[in-house]
Amino acid sequence: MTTVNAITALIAKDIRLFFRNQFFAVTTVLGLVAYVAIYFLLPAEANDGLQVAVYLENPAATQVDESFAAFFDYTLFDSPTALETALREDGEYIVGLLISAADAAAMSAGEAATVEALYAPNIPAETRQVYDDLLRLMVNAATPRAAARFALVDESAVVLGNDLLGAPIAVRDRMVPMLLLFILSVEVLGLATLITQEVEKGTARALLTSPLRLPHFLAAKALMGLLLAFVQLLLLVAITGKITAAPLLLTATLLLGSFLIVGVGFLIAAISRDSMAVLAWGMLVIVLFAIPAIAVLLPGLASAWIELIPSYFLVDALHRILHFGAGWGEVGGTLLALLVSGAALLLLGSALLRRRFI
Amino acid sequence: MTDYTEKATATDSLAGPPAAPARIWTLLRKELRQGATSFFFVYSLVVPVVLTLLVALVFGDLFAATPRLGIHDAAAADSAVTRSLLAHESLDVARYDDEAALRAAVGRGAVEVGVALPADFDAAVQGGGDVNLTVYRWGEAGVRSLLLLESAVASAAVDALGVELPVQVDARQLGSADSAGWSQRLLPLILLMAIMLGGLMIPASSLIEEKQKRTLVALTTTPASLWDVYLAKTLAGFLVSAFMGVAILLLNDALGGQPLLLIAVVALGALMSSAIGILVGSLVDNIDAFMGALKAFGILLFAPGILELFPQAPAWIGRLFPTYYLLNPLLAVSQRGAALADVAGELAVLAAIVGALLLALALVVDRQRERVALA
Repeated sequence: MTTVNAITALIAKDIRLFFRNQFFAVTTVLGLVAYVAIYFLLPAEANDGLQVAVYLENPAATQVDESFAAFFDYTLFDSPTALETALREDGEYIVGLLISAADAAAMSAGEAATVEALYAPNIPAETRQVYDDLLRLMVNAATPRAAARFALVDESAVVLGNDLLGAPIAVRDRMVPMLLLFILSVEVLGLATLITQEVEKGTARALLTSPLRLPHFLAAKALMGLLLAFVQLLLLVAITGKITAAPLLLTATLLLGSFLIVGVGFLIAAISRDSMAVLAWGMLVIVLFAIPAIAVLLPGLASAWIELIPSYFLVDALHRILHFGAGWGEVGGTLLALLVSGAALLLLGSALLRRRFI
Repeated sequence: MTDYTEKATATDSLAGPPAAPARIWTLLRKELRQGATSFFFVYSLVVPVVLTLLVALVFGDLFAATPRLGIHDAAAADSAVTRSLLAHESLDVARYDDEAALRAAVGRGAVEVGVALPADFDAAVQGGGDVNLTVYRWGEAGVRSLLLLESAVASAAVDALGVELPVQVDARQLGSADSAGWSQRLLPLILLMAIMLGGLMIPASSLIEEKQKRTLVALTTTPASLWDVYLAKTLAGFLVSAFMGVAILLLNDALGGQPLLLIAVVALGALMSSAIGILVGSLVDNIDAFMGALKAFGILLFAPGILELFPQAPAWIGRLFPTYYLLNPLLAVSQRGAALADVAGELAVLAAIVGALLLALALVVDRQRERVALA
């Protein structure tokens, strides 16, 4: 039997074993279905705006109407009751303004007036001040004196980073790196469990009494893990249509991500005595690896040290390719770091595993 | 490994005919002693605490949806605008010593808007001349945050300019103001994890291990009954679960004004989770199947905690899940100052769920006893 044939036979056996395991079979297939379902169930559009409810007693007060429009999206209500009901029950509006006919006339003329505002229930008390600021400016926007003074402030605005104003990323799209990481997480557990069980049950030693050498054994495991992870990742990005963003670059990134996860799987298998230990270490890794993906979901929130987590390189590359159209030049360094991380983990895991056989 | 056969021959407590509580106590001590080295045990203790710390460490206050503003004031003494913004209650304001640092912070999204005030800002304002203001905007900042931040800056500038605004706003809050930030919204989920993880994993993993190593059958040759074993494992899960529930409440400073009532609710929840754990452990034969079951049905247990993250979600959805009747009284007592009378209805449902689980456990133990007798 040639080496290639031996490795191929081992891979086929491992894939059969993998799917014979109830836990991994269920989580692999159902997981993929669930992730696709989650993606398509989430809204395709991002909604990061601010909706304000407005009641104008005199709908003909167009000046007020126009000055509000310069600030934000707002919805006009027919009556104060309808506005209050929307604030209480809708959940879409945070604040509402009730403008009487007299208020509207005073605002247009720049005369003194007091406008009534309503805050929706459950608005955190500490956030009120900023909404107060907004309302204060908004109702005075048409005031000639304020406008004249504001004209003296020369504000030069500089946009840093990718400008998403007007084209925000939908939550479901931001979730894609996280869904891909979840797939990889199950594969980490699967691969590490397979290796650990082979060692636990002695089948690995039995195999090594045949012409099969340890490097071949490890190569077969690595290739099996790579194949399983990569195919699932590819399926997810294909079904969600993301693959069209940059087919070749995305494929390479997913392949390197799968390679990283193989390295992690080897390392976990090397330090785990049994399946329970694999689950325990695996869960720790899943929590840790999910952090960069959460940072993509909630941008700008993470500390700089998350860049030390190997999954950061995968998530960052995916985020930039999928959402900002980054090319090879922009993500080349990140992909190299991903490759190096995967290789380092694989080498370390292999070395530790080798010690368990010798 | 939990080997009770060794204990049965070596300890007097099981050699004679001691009362069941004594046998359960002996089994419980052994369960806790041996369980302390198990990964599931360590996990149940460590994961909720690590998650609490991770949220604070990685995201900190930034996890809140509070708009984030950066200021660089080139003046030797802070301008009126800077002072006003630094004192702003609704913003997360950071100041930077130089403009490059401000720019870098905006570039990586640490702050969504950065305002660079020139050294002569106040003088220019007071002189009534042109004022130069550089505003950096993070490209990924949401429209809502930008609108609020710009309003806050503009409002501070209005005050500094001394502009009299003729139209005032009389704002009124509908219902009660909810001061819950993101950290408080996350607390339910972490609390639920703290109570459910230990209760589920410890009895289940211990029982599965007994079954896999066939020590459960060996136990029938000792004075310890199956009931004793099951109860000891349930108690072990209950203790860890209750301990972690109280610990997470303490860590988050959420014991509220009625700690005894809160501890009683945690205890009832811990009993529910450990009863579920021992039941699941008795129904599955290996750890992979247990993890599969946990993965498949775990969402049913944690759903109320997840729903708490989204206040817009209709309240009735949460009531469909059993853990709602644990979580809601916990939150009502710890965060909303509810008394026993306010949560009595939900606690009654929780007690009924626990009763049903214990009844199911009794049936399972009887069935198991028959199987062991036939074996």
